[in-house]
Amino acid sequence: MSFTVVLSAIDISADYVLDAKKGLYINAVDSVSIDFKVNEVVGIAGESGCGKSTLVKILYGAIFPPLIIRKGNVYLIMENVKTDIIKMSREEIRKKIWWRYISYIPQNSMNVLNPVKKIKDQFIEVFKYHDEKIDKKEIIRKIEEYFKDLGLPVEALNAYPHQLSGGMRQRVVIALSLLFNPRIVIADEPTTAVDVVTQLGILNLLKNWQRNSKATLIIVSHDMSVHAYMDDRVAVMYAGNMVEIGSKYDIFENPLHPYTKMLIASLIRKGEKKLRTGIAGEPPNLLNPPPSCRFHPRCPFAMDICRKDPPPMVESSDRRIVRCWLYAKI
Amino acid sequence: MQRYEDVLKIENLSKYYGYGLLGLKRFKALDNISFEVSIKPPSIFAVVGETGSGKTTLLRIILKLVKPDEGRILYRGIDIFKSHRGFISWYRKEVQPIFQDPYESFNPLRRVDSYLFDVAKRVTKVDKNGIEDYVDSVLRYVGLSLDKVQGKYPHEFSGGELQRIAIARAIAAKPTLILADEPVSMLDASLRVNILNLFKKIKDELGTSIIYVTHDLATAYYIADQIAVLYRGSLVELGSIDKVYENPRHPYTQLLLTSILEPDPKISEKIKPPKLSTIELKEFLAQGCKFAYRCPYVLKRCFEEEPPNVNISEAIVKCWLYEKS
Repeated sequence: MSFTVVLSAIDISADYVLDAKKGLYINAVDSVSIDFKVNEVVGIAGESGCGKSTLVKILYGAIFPPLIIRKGNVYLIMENVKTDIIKMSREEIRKKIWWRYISYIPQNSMNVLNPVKKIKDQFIEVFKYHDEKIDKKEIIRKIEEYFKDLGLPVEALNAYPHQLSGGMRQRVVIALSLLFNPRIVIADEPTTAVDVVTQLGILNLLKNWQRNSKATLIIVSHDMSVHAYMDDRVAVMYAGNMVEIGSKYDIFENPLHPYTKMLIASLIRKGEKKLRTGIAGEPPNLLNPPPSCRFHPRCPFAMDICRKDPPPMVESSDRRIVRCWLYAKI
Repeated sequence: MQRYEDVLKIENLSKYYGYGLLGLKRFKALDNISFEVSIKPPSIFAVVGETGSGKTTLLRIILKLVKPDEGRILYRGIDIFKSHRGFISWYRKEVQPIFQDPYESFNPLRRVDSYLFDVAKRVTKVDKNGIEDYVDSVLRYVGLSLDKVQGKYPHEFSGGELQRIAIARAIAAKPTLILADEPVSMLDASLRVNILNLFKKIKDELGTSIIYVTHDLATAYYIADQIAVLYRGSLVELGSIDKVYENPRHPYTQLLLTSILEPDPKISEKIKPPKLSTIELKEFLAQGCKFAYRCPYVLKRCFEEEPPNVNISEAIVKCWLYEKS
């Protein structure tokens, strides 16, 4: 397996501006560093409001107000050339990077299709936007082949979005985003609004594509079962911080961070009636997050130092990172 | 056989919705559904199905918000759609709903405690101090307290807290039956289990029955006693949750059970990809079994004739595979 890094985020902090005059900022992402490599599936897990969607928007270079970057770099490595996405002009990203190099499947992607256009016309439009000069018939033949490869029914091409089920629309959007064979695909909650059976179908579509193309797949989901099924590595976020990164077996079978431990313990397994307990309390308000470690008000192992200083990123030999004072060697 | 006063009985319920130009064509959103929910002794009854299976329509009919086209509902022996005056206000107190999105169930411009005080005034008939104590006790039951809630608007709470307040509002009316429509699907995993534990506590301590509508079989198994599986408006399997879970008979229930993803990387490796449906309406209008297009064991007659309800060891399965002829 190759360990070539394709995307690297270094020490990113980002805020949402609420009221600049009053100095009100929501600190959605705080000092996050993570590397993504060729041919791997990385999951970003965490509860709602933990900053996972904001982080992938920054990775994708979609930095629009009120989101502002405080510090940090996102390096995209294409053909051995390193470019900082944050410093690139929007126009350049749009023409050269998006769709061709990085694709983004947004949340609720089943509702992003134009309701008054047939599916095939939406595909043709994408070709036109990227200045692909091929004949219309040629494009349709190409799309039909492409649909067969992905296991989608070809009849769907002549349908309008409302004639398709939600799961089918979602698969069409995924097909659109994979059209130019990008090297990095970011899927933001790809299966939250669909049923269990459809969910499995969609995840398989993504998984098979990733295995065949050897691309990098980044999956954002609050659902730990999705991560258990899809990921090679899992990155767990809490209140804007990256608290733990590790292989999925490490994260599920031997979690280190107290938050990950309690999260894994609260999950209901199939066919189980044993009483489980959730995590007491609520995630903090990011307008005014707790100082130093943001988990300390809910953490049963909190020590004095957790309230005083922000915890260090402790890295063990096997590409495992945990941000907690319990594992720091002092 | 339970006495009629002790159950909610759904008999041959059907509901049609129009579609197409002018809505003249009709399809069955609910197709001839019958089941019983035990109210005494209290039980948790799970209704499981995917989007478009008719589970929300079913809840709306039980709440008396929508009229069925065929069939009837007997609540403790009384037909809720042929009732006399005074019944509605009693029924509205007896049966309380909890909805999926707590932010949508409260008016954003109204303080949330006012909902609780309104309910308390109607139910307890005591003076002002007594009402405050009552509201406080109900809130403490769900893990909050009056001073945490008083004077606040819905946006000041997180989803988990607001869902607890919605549950407090429901139990403040001292209901006999709670209808919970996907009550935990909007919540984070670490808070989800707390709400489910609360439902168990409500059943065991307050003696309130709960109809738990969900698409998530894992949480259904965690709390429910009985289960009904809906597919495209038909009830395909009905029985005690242990029986259905250990030995699912209907191919759809089997598919549902094998497609559940689990928070365990080892089990996930064994899951096989399913066959997906493309166009829903076609399935709703199907003559025979609605699952026929996706069923791995499909027979010729499944497309032509509606399957019978077959009784096997205390469970009911609507499938041709189990018909002995």
